[in-house]
Amino acid sequence: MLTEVIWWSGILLEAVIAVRGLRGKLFSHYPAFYLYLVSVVFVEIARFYTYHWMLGIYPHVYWNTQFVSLVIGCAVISEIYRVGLKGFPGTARMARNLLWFVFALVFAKAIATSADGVSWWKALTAMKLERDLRIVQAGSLIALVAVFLAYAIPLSRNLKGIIAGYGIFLGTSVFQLTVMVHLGAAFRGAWDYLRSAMYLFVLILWVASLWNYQEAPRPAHTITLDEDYKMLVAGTRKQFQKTRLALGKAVRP
Amino acid sequence: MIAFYACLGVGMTLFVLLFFLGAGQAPDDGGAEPLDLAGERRAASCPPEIVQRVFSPQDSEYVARVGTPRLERFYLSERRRVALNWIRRTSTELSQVMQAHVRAARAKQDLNPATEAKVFLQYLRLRCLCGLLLIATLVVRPSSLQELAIYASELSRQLASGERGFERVARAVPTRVHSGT
Repeated sequence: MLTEVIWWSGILLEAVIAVRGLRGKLFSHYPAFYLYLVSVVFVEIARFYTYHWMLGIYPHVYWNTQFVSLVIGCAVISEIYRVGLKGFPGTARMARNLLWFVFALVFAKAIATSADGVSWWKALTAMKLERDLRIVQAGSLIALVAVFLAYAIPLSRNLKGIIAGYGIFLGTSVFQLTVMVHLGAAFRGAWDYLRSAMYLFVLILWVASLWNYQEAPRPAHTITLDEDYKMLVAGTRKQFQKTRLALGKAVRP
Repeated sequence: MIAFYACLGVGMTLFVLLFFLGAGQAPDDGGAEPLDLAGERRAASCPPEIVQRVFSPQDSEYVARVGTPRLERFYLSERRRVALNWIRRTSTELSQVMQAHVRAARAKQDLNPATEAKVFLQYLRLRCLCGLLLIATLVVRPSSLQELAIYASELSRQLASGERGFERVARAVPTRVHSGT
């Protein structure tokens, strides 16, 4: 009964977000996110149908649809990057570098795993593969959020909601899959309900943040005497040097 | 087991960053102030002679010579309060410089990730130095920071050699005065 309530509530909330997205013209601003959402609605319906009437093929349907949403999830992250850093080309380059660093780390880890004699792909179960791909997504989102925070990038309520919701979903997925890979099926049960409840929370967050379209706040224009980047860096370092000298002078014997 | 904790660490880091993102960003007005003018204000905030005096052992030696425990206690608490205030203020000013920098740098077309990393590292080292000074002032007398001074001068020497390279680059670019677009 509880499973059905969660299932139907999820589908209902997803439908509300989609309808609000259409009415508020949010679809054109966040196409990847709405594609993801619509795909999730279809996936939920397909899973609901197979769970009740074709239980034998449910695991097969579950894992296949899970990878579909995983691939579309990558598009959502790419959209966060594109929309969030639209007016900040330099910061976008910084984020790109960080993303490459994350991919290089994952690639290095994959090579290190395959180098111990066991083929990486053979050693992977569907669950492990999903965990690893979710970690790549989580790593990318970490890099993006770190750049947003470090450079105080102004974000719209819509984008903040998308990031928060997808981030919570990714974080709980990483936790769940990591512990399930480590402990096995013993971990299932209560966690399944917890994850579903968390997903409902994410959907409520999306309903609230995507009710209307909102533009990103415009950053206050920075007027500096030297608009050149190299001069700006030199200016900052000069300020640091002054502080450093003051600190040094203060404690010099 | 390391992989297990690393995976959980990724999830945890994501939650922490999302918390900071949700906690809200500072009002977007810090960068509106020209860096050079801000520098003049900072330089005037506390004359170096006074700061040097706060940390110098001269007054401490004088109070010790007077030999009144009550005066010594009063002197120590007052001196410590002034020193802590100065360190906190310096730390805040460092944050303001960094904030002004990132707000001005974020829209630059030619933003260089390696240079940004160096600036951030320099900022981090100075913040660490402030933290170290703060702890040292709380633990020992402000006038007994000679060991820290050795570290500070060593750090200062290292930073100065790095900065010379930057100044050469900066000098090569002609200064432009305009309102910007």
